[in-house]
Amino acid sequence: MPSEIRVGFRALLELLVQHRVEFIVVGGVAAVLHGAPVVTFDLDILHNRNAENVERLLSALKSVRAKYRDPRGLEPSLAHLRGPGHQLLMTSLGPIDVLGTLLDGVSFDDLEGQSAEVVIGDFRVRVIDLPTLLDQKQRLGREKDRAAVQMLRHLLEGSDKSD
Amino acid sequence: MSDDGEARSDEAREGGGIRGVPVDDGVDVSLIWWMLSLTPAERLQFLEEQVDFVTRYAGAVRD
Repeated sequence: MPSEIRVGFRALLELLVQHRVEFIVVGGVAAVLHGAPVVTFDLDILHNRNAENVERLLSALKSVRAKYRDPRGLEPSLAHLRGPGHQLLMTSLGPIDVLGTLLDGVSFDDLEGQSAEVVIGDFRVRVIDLPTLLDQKQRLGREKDRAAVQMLRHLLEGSDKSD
Repeated sequence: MSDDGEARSDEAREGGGIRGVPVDDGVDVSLIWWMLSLTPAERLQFLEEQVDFVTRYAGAVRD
């Protein structure tokens, strides 16, 4: 990531909320919001792929000059965002991965029941719940997620004890 | 577990004054406690500061 870009996860989330985008925070930022002391360099969101929401999402992304992170630097389109794939984008507020689906084709509608609202200052976002996040990370089986998986296990054990 | 983690565990067991002892799988639980003491907004701010530090440091090394 170019050092002149200042990452603004909060600003990106607030932007999406201001544009009334329906989305769920997944991935490393979700882990941090749950209290996992891990570092991640991009914001991952799973969005509702209905036509109206995709238009709002594209409008939000255009306002921060979103482009694909590959060398061609193309801009995302409505067709891209309507699909189930992953759009790996760079914006003026840092990287964002816009996911149409998760593992096993899990969509926004599928995941909504396994998410909860989290208050960030004066706005709220939906965040994937801890058990589902841990399950996703475990099943991805990526080396880079090993530390986060350990942290999430401890967090889950802690929350089970406090219930 | 890392050598450092084992050393800290041993020292803590022997009453060496280190609190927040790593558990067996190497996770420093004291960091989790600390993160849980923050609000979600503060957790996000801490993450942003970490990422900014790393990207600025990487840029400085590159230049």
